[in-house]
Amino acid sequence: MKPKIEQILDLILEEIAKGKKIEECLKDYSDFVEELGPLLQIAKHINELPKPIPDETVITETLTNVKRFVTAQKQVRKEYSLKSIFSFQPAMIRAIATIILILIFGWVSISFSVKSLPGEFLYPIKIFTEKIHYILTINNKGKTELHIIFADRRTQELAKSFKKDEQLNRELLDTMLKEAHSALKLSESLSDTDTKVIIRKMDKIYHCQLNTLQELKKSICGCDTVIINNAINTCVNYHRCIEQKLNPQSNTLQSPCPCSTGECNCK
Amino acid sequence: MKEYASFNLETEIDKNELDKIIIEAKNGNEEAFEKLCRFVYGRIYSYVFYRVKHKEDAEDLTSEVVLKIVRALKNQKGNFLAWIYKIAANSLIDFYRHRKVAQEISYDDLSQESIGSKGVSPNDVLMHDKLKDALTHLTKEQADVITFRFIQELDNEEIAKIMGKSIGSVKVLQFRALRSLREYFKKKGYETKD
Repeated sequence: MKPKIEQILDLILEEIAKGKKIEECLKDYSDFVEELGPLLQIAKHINELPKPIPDETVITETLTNVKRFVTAQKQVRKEYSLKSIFSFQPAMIRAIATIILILIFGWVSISFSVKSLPGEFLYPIKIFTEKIHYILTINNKGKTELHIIFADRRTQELAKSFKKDEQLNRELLDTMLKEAHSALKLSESLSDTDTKVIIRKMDKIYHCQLNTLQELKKSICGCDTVIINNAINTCVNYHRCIEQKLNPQSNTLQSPCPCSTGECNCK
Repeated sequence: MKEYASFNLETEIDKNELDKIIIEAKNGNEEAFEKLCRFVYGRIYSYVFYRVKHKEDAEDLTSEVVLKIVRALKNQKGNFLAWIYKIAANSLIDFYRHRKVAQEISYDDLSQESIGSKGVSPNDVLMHDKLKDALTHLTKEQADVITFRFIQELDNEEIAKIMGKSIGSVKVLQFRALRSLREYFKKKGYETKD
C-alpha cells in the first residue's frame, strides 16, 4: 500500500527536523517533488522564524500579579483552615440542628408524658417509652423491676383517672393487674438474693394497689363493684403468694399461693 | 540556533518535570508557580501572537490567559497543554467579541514593532507579518496545527492530544494547512526563499 501524500509530508518533515535537507528527502519521492517542495519550503520558513518576544516589563508585571494572587490565596487558605476548625459546612449545620431539635423535642415530650393519663395526647408516648425501656432491658431482674414500676404507675393513673372522670377505667385496671402478675411470674426465674429484694418491692406495690382499689370501691357505681371485687381478690392472692415466698415455712399450709395451685384468676 | 526570548521563558520543560511543577504549583509552591508561569507565558504568547494584530494586544491577552490559568490551576485535570491552549483559544474568542476586532488583519497595519526587536531582521518581520496575515485566512484548526507544529514545535502525538484528534487527522490537517498557505502566498504574490 502506497503511503498517502500527507504521510509522506510528515515523514519528510521529521527528516528535516533531524537535519536533512529538503532536496535530499525529496529524492526518495520524485513523484511528489512538485507538490511537496513548496509546502516544505513554507514549513521550513515558518520553523526558522525567530520566536516572538514579549516585553520583559509585561512578563514581570504578570509574574507580580501571579505572586500577588498566590499570596492572597495562601492567606485565604490560612484563614479558611482556621475558620474551618470553628465553623461547619451548611449541610452539616442543618444535620446537627435537626438532630438537636429531634433530641430536644423527644426529651421534652418524654418529660411531659410522665404525668399524662390515658386519653391524653402524650400518653401513647409514655407507653411507647416504657416499651422501648423494657425491650432494651436484657436481664430478668431489670425486667421484673420494670413490671413493678409499671404496675405502680398504672395504679396511680387509675386513681387519678377516677378522680378526673369519676369513672372506673377498666382497661387500666386490667393492665395494672397484668403488670403485677408479670412481675410475680418473672420473679420466679430470679436467684434467691434478687428474689428477696424484688419480693419486698412487689409486696409494697400490692399493698398500694389493694389500698387504691379499696378506696375506689367506696366511690364507684354499683355496676363496677363486681370488677373491683375481683381485682381486690386478685391482689389478695398476689399478696398471699408474696407472703408465701417471703416466709415459705409459715404460710404454705395455711394459705397456699393460688398461682401455684392453679386457682389464680389473674390471667 | 534559533533565537529565543532574551530572558528565560522556559518554553521547553521535560514532561515529567512539568508534571512535578504542576503538582507543586497546585500545592501553592511559589517557585513552582513562577516556573510554570514562565513556561505558560512563552507557550501562550507565541500562540496568541499570530492571532492578533498588535504586539501589545498579544502581551495583554497572554497576561490575561496566564492569570486565568493560575486562578483555575487548582481544578485542572487531564492534559495540561490541551487545557492551557483551550483557555487561550477561548480568551481569543472573547477578545474578538469584546473589542469587535475584525479577524482579518490589514497588512498595512503590521509593522516592525510587531515582534521583539532583538536579532530580528526586516525579512523576518516581513515573514512574521505575512504569516500572521495568512493564518487569519486558514480555518481555526489549520492555523492551530501550523502554530503547534512549526512555531511551538510540538510532535504529532502532543498536537493530537491538544486538539482531541487522531494522529492521522493531524497529518491531514497539516498537509491541508500548508497547501492553503501556499495558495494564499501564491495569490498574494509572495515568494518563499529557497
